Order: sequence, then C-alpha cells, then structure tokens
Amino acid sequence: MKLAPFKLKQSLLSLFKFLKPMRNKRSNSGVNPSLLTLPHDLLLIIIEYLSTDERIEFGRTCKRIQQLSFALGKMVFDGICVSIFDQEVEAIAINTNHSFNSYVITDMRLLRKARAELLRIEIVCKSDNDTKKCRSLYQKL
Amino acid sequence: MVLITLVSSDEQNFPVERELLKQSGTIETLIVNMNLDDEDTDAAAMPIPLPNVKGDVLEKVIQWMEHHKGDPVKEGDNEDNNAEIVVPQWDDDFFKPAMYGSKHLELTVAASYLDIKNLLTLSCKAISNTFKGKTGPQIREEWGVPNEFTPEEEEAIRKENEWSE
Repeated sequence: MKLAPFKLKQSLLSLFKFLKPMRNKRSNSGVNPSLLTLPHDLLLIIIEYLSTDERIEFGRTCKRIQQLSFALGKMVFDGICVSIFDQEVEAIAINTNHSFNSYVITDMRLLRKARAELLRIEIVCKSDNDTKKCRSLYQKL
Repeated sequence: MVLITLVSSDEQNFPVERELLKQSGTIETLIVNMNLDDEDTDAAAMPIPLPNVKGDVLEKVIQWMEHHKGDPVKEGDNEDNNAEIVVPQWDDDFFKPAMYGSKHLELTVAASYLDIKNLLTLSCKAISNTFKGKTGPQIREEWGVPNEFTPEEEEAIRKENEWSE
C-alpha cells in the first residue's frame, strides 16, 4: 500500500480538515503565537524528523499534534507482534523505552508504514486449549 | 546584474539579485511565466507582490538566500534521508535568536509558501532539534502550546506508552 508523497499529504490534509474550526478558534482567542500556528503540512515535516521517543513526548503536548503524529504513521519500533484471533487483530509494538498496546488495539493506523527489527505474527485459534498450543508454537520460532 | 523587486505584504520593496531567486520555486515559476528573463522585458518595472510575507520576514529570507547563494536546489522529496539532515552552524546561529517565537515560525511558513526547499528543511529540522531530551510539558511551555489534556487524559496517555507487566 504505497502512496505517492503528494497523495499521502493530500489524504492527511483532508483527514484533518475537521480540526480546522478548533484551530481558528484558538488563533482568534488572542493566545500568544505558538507552534500551533503552523499548518498541518509543516507540523508533519517536523514530526518526521523526530525519533519514536521524541515523537511520543511531542504528542503529549496537545491533541492536534498527537493526532497528526498518529495519522502520519512511519514510526520505527524494535519489534512488532501481531496476533490474529479468528476475526480480530491485535498488535503490540515495542521500543526500548515504550510499549504500545491499547493504542494499537483500537486503531491500527499507528502501524501505518511502521518499521521494525523484529516482526512476530501469531495466529490464535478460538478454543482455550488450541489458543495455548498456537501461542507456544509461534514463540519458539 | 539583473535585479527583481519583491514587494512584501506591508508594501516594502526589496530589490533582489535575479540569481538568488532560483532558490524559490514559487518566484522562479513566476519569473519564467512572466518572461522576466527576456532581454526585451523591463524586469525592474514589474515588481513581484508577495501578499503572504511580511517585510521583516522577507528580509530574513533574502539574508538566508544570500548566504546560500549557489547552493544546489533540492528537487522532489527525499524522505528517507530525514535522520541525516544536520543544521550547519551558520544556519543554527541564524535561526537561534528568533527560535521559540513567532519570527521563526513565520520564517518557516514563508519558506513553505515561497517553496525554498533547503530553508524549509533546515528551519523545520531546527525546530525538531529543540525537542531533544525534552518532555511533553517542557515542549508545551517553551513553544507556547496550551494544555488541553485533563489530568485523567494525561495519565491515560502515560499508561498507554508505559511498559505493562
């Protein structure tokens, strides 16, 4: 699923159109000039220059940046483990200082264009006994 | 030496050497489309209005272009080299006095509008460099970002990224 950079930018911009009213409100309210005066495309460039750890801290500053960082994807992890249960897919992404799980369960976009040193895929069957069997089998690999 | 006049949003005139403007994709396109390079065109009589750039910002942009005269102009996106971008000392010193303020942000927006790829890259990289080793609340304070998270939300974000036992 490779999008041309231009298309990617366009789709991200349209995705975040809904955030615009929030931004306008803020700029009219007389708040000091801040990083948030930058448009989405420039914030996306800045986010791309950060390491995964730096991005997490940057994402803690405000909701707009958190969502932009999230939608951009392209994060680098040490390892990603994807579990496939019947119809559901769960994933955990791990880095030296952080692990991401609840994010991923609710929204797989975190893993968009992600890179990792290690990828483990588990296929888990439905019944309890089978579940254990499959998990151990794949962990040996 | 051919001079082309740029006019800022506050009506200030800036005569700039034709050669320097090759760094700006936006202005270069205009110059070509208006045939300002033709010998029989009086370039001096055709100022280029830049309604999105204020005079003091345009002055900084021109200063930057003068220092970088003759640098190769980047073409297209080379996204994979992000990690290798280093802000040279001169540029770092150039950006530093205005960092954390609206001036640096306006310069960045102008670089984007004028399509000066090298300036945009270095200016954004310089911003991202200020985040190194900082926590979210520190970045928020330094860059004037209002805190919209409730204490509960902050706790939830912290937990999401924490090592779970």
